[in-house]
Amino acid sequence: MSWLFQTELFGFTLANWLYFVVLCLGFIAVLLGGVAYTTLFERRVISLMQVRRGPNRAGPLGVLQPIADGVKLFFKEDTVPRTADKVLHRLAPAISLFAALAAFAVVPVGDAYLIPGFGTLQLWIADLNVGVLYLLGIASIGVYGIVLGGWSSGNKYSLLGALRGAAQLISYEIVLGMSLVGVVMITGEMSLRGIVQWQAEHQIPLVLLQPVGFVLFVVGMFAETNRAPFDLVEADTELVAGFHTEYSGFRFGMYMMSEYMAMITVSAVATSLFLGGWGGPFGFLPGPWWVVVGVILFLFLFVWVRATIPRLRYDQLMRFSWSWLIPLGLVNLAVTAVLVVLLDS
Amino acid sequence: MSGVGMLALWLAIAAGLAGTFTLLAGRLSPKKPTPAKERPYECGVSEAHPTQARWPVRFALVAMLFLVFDVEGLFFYPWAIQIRDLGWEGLLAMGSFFAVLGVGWIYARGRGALRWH
Repeated sequence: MSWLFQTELFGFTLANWLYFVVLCLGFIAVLLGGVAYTTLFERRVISLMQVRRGPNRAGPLGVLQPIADGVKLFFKEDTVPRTADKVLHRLAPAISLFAALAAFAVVPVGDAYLIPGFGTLQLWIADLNVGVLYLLGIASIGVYGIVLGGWSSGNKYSLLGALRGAAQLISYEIVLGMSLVGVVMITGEMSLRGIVQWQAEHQIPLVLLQPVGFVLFVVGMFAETNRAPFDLVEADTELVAGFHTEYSGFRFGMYMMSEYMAMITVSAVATSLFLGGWGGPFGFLPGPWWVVVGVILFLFLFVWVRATIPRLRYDQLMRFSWSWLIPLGLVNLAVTAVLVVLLDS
Repeated sequence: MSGVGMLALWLAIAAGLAGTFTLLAGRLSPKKPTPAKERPYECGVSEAHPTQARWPVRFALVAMLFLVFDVEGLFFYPWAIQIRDLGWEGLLAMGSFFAVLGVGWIYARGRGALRWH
């Protein structure tokens, strides 16, 4: 086994490389499992809210339902309409899924932990010093998946869904960008790990210092993941299924996976940036569990809002962003900047 | 391992997963296309005119506004990092930039670019 520790590749031993790959695969496995069970969580919670039972036949409490769904999607016919652009139609869901996965790279789930007999285990993938910008950039790539998917289908409903989606996503991306500037100002950090450490050091979750930024971020994250009440992209009452009308089988499954993965990612980001992340507010739970609790709370919020608030009309949606949220973000930014400089001098 | 190297590894694995799913999708399933199945689903009224020719110009307007506000918004980040070092001077400089952005927003709003018909 000694060759594992002696052979070097790009300055790292093979044992190091093995550790990195296993770490990445572990993250992927947990994420995909999380996606599967988020669908079940959503269906069960929403059926409770609507006073019905939801999926409860596959295994106790329906725990096997996501597995049944996944297997079913793999064996369903993959129909491609004659009018579709064949290459882009196949490529689009992959772009969505790739962007959803890529975003998680900068999210820290925990600190580095010393495990006896193994070494240190780090619970983050990449600690980029431009983490916040990276997240915003990846969110823009995700737009391609939706636009190309809707455009290449050759279906009017898909095209409308895709255009609306593009306009909505870029409008709310500005909101997201504005809401995070305040956080960056206060902490002087763009790395998510750095921001979590700052909160742990000062023993204060940033939601208390940036309440407006937090609200803007939460609204923005609902719009960025195309969830109700901002699910105009899908709008089943008017656009059949929006941009993924012409998708079936596992390609449809990939769109679903990227939507739920994006939900988990933004929940984890919100927990890290505003609720203290693994720094944890009280310390009676180990750090990573705080992230898990935060993610579950935000996922519950997603489901709760979906069961409660009706869908916005499209012009309301656009006006809400451009006339209210963006100016609010700018004002919040200006006030924060003045306060930071004032308190510092 | 440096952040960027780790990121590259993660992106490669993510791309591999998405690629594998793309290649697998449709391979494991029956394929029995019929003429009716291959038509785009449009609730019965189909193919009056092709979709890929024209679309409302308002979307292009939103795209331009996005470019203006998002790219200018990005200029806030380098300053936000340095805000304590730059102090009042930086605040003043960014204040003028902020005013330009604000005037742009008021102009766009006044011309009705933000209204959706």
